[in-house]
Amino acid sequence: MDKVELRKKDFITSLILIAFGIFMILYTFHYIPMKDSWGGVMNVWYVSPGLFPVCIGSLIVLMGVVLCRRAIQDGGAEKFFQDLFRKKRGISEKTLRFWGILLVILTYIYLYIPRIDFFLSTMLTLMVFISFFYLNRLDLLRRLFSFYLSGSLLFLALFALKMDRGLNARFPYSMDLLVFLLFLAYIAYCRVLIQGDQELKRRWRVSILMSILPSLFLIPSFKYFLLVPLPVEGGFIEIMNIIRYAFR
Amino acid sequence: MFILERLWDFYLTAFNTALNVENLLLLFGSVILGITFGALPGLTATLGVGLLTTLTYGINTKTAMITLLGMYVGAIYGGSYGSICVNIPGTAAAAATAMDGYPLACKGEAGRALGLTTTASFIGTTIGMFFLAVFAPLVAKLALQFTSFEFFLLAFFGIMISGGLTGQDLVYKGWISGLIGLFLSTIGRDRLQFFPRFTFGISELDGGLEVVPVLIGAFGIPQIIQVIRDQLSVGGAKQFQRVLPELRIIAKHLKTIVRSALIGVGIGAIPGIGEDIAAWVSYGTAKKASKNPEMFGKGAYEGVIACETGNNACIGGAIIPLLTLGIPGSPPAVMLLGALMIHNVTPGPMLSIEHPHFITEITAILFLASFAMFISGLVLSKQVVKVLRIPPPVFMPIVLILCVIGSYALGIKVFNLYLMVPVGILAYFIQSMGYPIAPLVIGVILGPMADENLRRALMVSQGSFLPFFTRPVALLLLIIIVWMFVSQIPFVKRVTGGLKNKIFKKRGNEIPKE
Repeated sequence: MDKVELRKKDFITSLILIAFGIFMILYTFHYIPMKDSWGGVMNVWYVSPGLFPVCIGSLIVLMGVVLCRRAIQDGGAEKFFQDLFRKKRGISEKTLRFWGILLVILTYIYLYIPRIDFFLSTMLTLMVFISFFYLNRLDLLRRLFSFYLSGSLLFLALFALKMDRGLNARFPYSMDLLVFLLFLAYIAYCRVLIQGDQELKRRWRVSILMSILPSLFLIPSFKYFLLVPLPVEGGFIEIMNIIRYAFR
Repeated sequence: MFILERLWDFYLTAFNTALNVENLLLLFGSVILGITFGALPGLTATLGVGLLTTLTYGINTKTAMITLLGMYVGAIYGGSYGSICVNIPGTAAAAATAMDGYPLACKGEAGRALGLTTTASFIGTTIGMFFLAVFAPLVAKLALQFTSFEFFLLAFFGIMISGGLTGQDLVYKGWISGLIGLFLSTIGRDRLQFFPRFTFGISELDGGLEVVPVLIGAFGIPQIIQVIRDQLSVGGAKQFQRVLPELRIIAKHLKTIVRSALIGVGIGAIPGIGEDIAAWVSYGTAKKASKNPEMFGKGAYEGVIACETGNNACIGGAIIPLLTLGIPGSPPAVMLLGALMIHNVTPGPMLSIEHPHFITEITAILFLASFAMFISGLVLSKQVVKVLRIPPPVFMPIVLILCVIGSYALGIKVFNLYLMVPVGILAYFIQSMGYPIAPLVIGVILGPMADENLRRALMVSQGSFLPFFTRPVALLLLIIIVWMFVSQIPFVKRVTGGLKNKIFKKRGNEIPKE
């Protein structure tokens, strides 16, 4: 990153830091007792739970001011205001890759893990993550990104409308089944996109293999050897349980 | 007599540990895993120790330390594989090794270079272990004299110096990172009066932020994003036949080894400054002291030896403040601290009283780990190099899954994951803007210590700041902290810069006369 661009970011960061430091101080004075009684203990300022946050908040403001001064000196503020009104160009490959990673992580953690069978959500995440970047073609990344985003938005809507509860109550593991269908549809869509290219076909196969094998190794290891109860144990974990206890 | 007793205790512990087959298997397994982890570009020793921590949850402390130290030693050494074979350092600590390691591999001497790094790493770790054995009890004794005043300043000093030395762009960016860490440490109920701070009514935050998910998020998520976003690719690895210890070359550069080991231990003992800086400083010093500095960067054995001795000696150095003061000396040591906390071992001055044999045990394990690394390095290096062929888009998603399972498994809480992701994204953004991550995590770890001791100290002195100036160690720490701040003021910088120039100019004039 060139220096002026870095200073532009420093300028923005410094403003955020100043605002955050002020928020910390105000919050502390407003919500944390500096002198009042708490839990039967009469506070004095030097033992108050607010003393440390006030010190940290003040130092953050001070550092924010120092950073802001430096950013202005090096032309960061000027660049910020210039760029503010400049028309943005299309999304770059690096930015798309970044959004791709973020999409995979966010959907895995906030959408699937709390609601869907852990084995299935892990397998889907691995498949999407590996194929996004291992196929290594920008046009494919764009299409796969849109496909996975659409699928995840659909599930987000189902969860937001609480339709998953009704479906699961009527047909057990129905949400797991729907996510599994998304997994299969994603694999099929990938296959359609890479038709005719032998190298991409090999990579597609590796992606499928690497989404299944680590899940098959890691999840049973944690569940049966380290005895860690998984976040959601749905249909797939149930199948694992049946197999495990059949051989016990 | 005391030293002989300690030495006997050390050998006995090492012998007993080595006699247990389970311990040996775990040690070799974790060292090999560490080497593999270190060899893979993008996977760091810190992340390795962090992820392995979650697997040690159910086992006893000694066995946990065997696996974690094995991973730590193996990963620091394993970083050199990528540096030598593909010119992509496996870890930041091995970045300096690539300067001369890769040119050696290009000359067809990859096997020799790996032999040198293996032997130098072994010697470096052993010297670091020696310093740990000698100095840790002394520092622990000294620390028993410390009161809340010293502990508050020590915690603050740790964050400041770590921020100051790791801030690559601007010094105060390191401090800002440390302050963000300190803020994160204030979230939850305070430890003296149990008043909720910055919890916003979220009950999961009442107990404060769990350290391990924060550490895994801060080190793991940015690494995953960076490697995939920047398309870090690994080319074909250089071929080699055999890896031999190369004792003749090592003996020739004994002076470089001792110097680099001392640098490594010294840098390791400074809070938050990791193996990467130790390697670079050792490399730079070796170049300055060398009779053939022009050979550096073109495949000098000395360069490879200096880096690897320095970064591995740093391990022992980093464990000294960790065990004696509760202040981790390097980022992987931060993870070790998290692991110790999980196992109900509180490092600090009381450690030698609560667990009298613990420091000896750690020293013995480090000793055995260095042996395991040496043997594994010589025997398995050819096989380990094969992992360099795994493309990052395939193994990085698996690392994500390990991060997720690791963070979750510690408290069996999905909330840990909700915490890990924002911390990781924050760490990624601030890192990309030149803010170091180590001070942030050190801030999270040392924050409660600073907070508690500041208030305890003021409680003792009835709100008076006078003891900060009347207690010698406190005053010394205060002067250093104030100087660190003041030295960044432009006017002071100009004055000190002018003084430096004058001194060096004088020296420069003197040299030709001689």
